[in-house]
Amino acid sequence: MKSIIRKNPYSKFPYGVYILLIAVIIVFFIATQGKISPSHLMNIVRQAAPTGIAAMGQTIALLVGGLDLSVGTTMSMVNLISANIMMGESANIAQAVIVSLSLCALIGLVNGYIIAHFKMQPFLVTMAMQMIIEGGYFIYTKGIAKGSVPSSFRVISDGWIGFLPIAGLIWVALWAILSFVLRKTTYGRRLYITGANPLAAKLSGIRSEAMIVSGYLLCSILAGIGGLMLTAYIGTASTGVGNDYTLDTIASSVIGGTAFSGGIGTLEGTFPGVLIMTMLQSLMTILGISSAGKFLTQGIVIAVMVAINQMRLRNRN
Amino acid sequence: MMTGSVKKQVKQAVPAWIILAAIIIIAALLSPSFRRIGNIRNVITQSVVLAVVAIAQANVLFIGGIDMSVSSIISISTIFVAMFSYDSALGLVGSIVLALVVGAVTGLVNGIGVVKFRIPAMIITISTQAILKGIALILMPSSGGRVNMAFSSFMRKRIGLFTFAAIVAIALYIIFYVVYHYTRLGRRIYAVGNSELYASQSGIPVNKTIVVTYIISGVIAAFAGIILSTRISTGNPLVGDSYAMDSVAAAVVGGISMNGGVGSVVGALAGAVIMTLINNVINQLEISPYYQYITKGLVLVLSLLIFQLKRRKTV
Repeated sequence: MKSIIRKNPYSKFPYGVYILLIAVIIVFFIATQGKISPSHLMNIVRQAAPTGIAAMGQTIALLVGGLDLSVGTTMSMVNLISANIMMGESANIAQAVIVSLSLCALIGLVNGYIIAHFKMQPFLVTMAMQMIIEGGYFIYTKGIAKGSVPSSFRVISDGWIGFLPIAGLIWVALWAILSFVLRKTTYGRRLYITGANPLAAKLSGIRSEAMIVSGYLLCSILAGIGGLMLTAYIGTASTGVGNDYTLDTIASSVIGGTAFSGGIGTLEGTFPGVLIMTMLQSLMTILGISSAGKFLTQGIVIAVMVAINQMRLRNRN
Repeated sequence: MMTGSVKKQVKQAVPAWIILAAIIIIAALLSPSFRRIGNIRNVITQSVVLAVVAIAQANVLFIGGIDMSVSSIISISTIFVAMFSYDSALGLVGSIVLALVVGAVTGLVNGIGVVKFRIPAMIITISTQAILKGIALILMPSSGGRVNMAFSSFMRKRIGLFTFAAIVAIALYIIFYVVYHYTRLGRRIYAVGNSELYASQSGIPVNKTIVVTYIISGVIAAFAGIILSTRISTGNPLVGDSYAMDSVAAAVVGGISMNGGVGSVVGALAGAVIMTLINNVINQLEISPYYQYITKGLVLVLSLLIFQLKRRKTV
């Protein structure tokens, strides 16, 4: 296994994006005239956790050579359904989590099966899924978001252990598990190989269709967990609250070096990618620059980072 | 007089026109209010902007790309027209030229990003979409401005079933039908979309063709924004947002492949009308509007399946 890892440079640790993260933290420090404290940074981690968890799913979808545009609406759906089931009662938490995540698993399986079996464009399949989920939750709620979140559930976003936010701990724990799976297990390496070249993977005895389905399944379930974290964070049901997250998760993944062509990228890059996006956003808020600044910086950061990543890939080949 | 290759591409649009005809017939049978002239006129008026953006999107899909920045180009074009066409030194013509130039420059940036920096089309166009949206929000944080009255009432003037804006859209379709199927540029676009390697081996300047295609898309998207501004009479930084995804859906329903080199603008027109018609039919049949998203999604899936099965057979 070790020799494969050494020979496969596409899951190498992405140092570049960490340098950018440090630069963003320094800019943050200077722009706020040193008023930023470690607890402030931890708060940013807490805010970033829903995006971070969903972005890991998006990275996996990108790794198997696809893309999932339904991540955002999946998060919205989980928000509406889980808050509606919980209705402010702690006793209903387990039911809400099970129902939400089962629906997510179903969405992931359908996405993956159609994409892998019918060889359809992931972009279109997940776009259609996005419309269907959106329509589904509109029909379910009849346009009025109902439900509330018990404080015992909000702990996963509001709680702190010492100076560490529980949300951040959940995020890092999931990251550690998934990173281990992707890097150290045969399943993980097969996922990379399938993404890089499905035909070669198939010829070398990997069930590439099953690998692709599993990638979308993981993606949707992680989007669901992200949606639950988001629900705990905002503490209420709100229609369409997760919809903007699709682009955020794609942007974070590609900033972190995950390529659109499949088989190239790491969760280690996505983590700082999410933090960079979140920090730039809160920097704009602190500086009182309207949402205009957020879009401007997002666009520039994505274009520049991807251009750099692409150049490095070309040099490597 | 169609040549073989033109016939092959236009044929891809047939399922879309059949779906369109089926929707119209079913809706007309079920709902008397759908059959009213006023409603038909409404559908045509509402389809215009999406139909024009669908040309822009089809254009880049032909070369195997995608353009997500059309949404922000539309928004910023409405802003330019609303800011400068009413009373400023720039005047109506100046504001329109400004919008078209910004569209062209955005297309140029997209094209260079794809060709020189090898950034995936989706990513570079998302970036320019975000940057333009930022600029639009700086220029006009919320809906505002005034569109030149004479211009907007001219575009809204009715000639039979069509508004003048609809006639402009139809003219664009005729122009681009000829461009794609009967000019050198059109043949190059299809060739690049089929295979960049073969195209370059047969002496086609691939990179130049790609950049030109993105510029054309930017300009058409700006055109769509100008038309939209005459309908809403103001500028709005977010009004174009839904058009990026909707235009892809319209083009794909119209039989244009995302892999490039397959399909015709004739299909994009049908796709755009289908997507607009779904909302209208659901309203006219007095079904809850919440069903429109699911219906759109299912229509997209259905047409994808049709094309997938058809193409499998031919391969």
